[in-house]
Amino acid sequence: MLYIFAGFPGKGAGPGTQHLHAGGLQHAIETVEELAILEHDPVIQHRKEGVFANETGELLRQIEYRLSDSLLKDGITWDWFTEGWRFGNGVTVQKSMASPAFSTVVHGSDLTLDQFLALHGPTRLADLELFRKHNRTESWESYESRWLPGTCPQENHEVSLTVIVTDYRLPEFAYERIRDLIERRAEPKYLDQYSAEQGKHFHTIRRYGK
Amino acid sequence: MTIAGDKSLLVDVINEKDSDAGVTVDRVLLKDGEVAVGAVAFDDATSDPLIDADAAVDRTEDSVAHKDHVHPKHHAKYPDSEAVTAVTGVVKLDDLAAPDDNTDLDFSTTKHGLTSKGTNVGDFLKDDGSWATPAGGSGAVTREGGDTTEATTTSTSSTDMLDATSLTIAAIEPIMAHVISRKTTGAADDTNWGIDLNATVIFANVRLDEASNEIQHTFQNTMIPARVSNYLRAGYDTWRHIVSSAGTSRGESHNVVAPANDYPTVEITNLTVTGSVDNALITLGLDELHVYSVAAS
Repeated sequence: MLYIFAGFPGKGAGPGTQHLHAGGLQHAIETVEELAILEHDPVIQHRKEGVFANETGELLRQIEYRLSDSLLKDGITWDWFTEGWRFGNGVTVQKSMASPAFSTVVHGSDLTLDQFLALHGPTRLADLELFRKHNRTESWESYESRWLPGTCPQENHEVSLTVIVTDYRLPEFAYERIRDLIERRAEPKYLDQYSAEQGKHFHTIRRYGK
Repeated sequence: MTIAGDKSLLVDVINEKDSDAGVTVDRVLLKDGEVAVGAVAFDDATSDPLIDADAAVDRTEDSVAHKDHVHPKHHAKYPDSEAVTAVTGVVKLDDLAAPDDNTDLDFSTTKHGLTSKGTNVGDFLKDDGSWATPAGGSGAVTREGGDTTEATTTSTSSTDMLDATSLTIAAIEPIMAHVISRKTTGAADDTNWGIDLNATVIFANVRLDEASNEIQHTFQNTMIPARVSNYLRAGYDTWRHIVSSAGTSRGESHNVVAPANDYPTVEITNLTVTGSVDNALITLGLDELHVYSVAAS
């Protein structure tokens, strides 16, 4: 069974704080809090179209999935995932980055400053009004169409997801506890059962570029 | 003695007649160098007073004290230069009240001023006062945004980890992709990665690091050539360097490898980095994916 949650443990927390990464989350779910048994068979690969045998590409069964309500609120449904999307197995914290393209154009002309000067010759800059125009490329429109109408952010952004593949359907209490850990910044229990090795179970939130 | 009203008396000195009596002129007593005054009348009609003394109805209108504190307009104006001198080195800018949250004082191409409000999406400030993503060449993608963290997995089958979307890379433009990776301890196994362009697998399940039970870091740099007809299996170029957490090199390689499938000849809109681990007891982390297109003209 495939579960997809919004964000990752610690998303939005301050720089320097430590939170569970995929390996830490797996340790919490399977070992520390015993919430579920995860799928680890290297043959099993969950994809958008079903559950496949990893090496042969044979379709083994239809996929069962559950998307967190938080994703739906953000405008992300099953249709957001493109054809052939691989969810694998175990636990994965996944990131997608999107960057709309903008250009500075002369108001009323759709020309860049260079194009305008090429057409009109020397021009006083004080006589021009420039504005930032979103270049709605086919690529961007294709990306935007994956979102529910009106929900796609119109600036550089990053979509973070946590994907968990289990052997069986989770009982509701286990699902909610895992969702608490991922989306609601719940503290993991029994911290003494996690490794003290740096980066083994936790990642550190940092600022971009640091 | 009486002097007629149309006459005048010319005299240099008037002395008191009786000792200590002083001299009284129309009830004003002049005595021992002092003047004893019952009331003093002022002409309040200055040419253009700043403050009309008569307007201050506080029973001091006609007093000496009041008149002494009225500053008529004909006093010299306090000039800007003196104001600047008065505050320079005395009043600190950060002690003044914050200005309004508006663009009144923002700089532009025609005037100096304050910086406009940031967009908080990692943009850079341009010289026309606007915020924008650096051009960096057609199709360039840079990581933008505030807080960030790595993509991680314990998946033993290939899974999508990093996805650069909304790209606009023409088929004739070579692509350069950088990514760094790490693996944790847990088992004497390695991790793997791959790259897709759009939905086409260029390579998959290529070993990232060495099969030893230790923390390892790698840097991967991949160059994908222009994707044009009759050259669709031209090899991609990869550099890799593996280092232990203690900083010991675990190997480096430079290979040119044929892609697993023909390159797509359409515009590249997606570059996906996949990953997997050979044992679910170790975790693979990928971070700092940067995709650049190389200008072809």
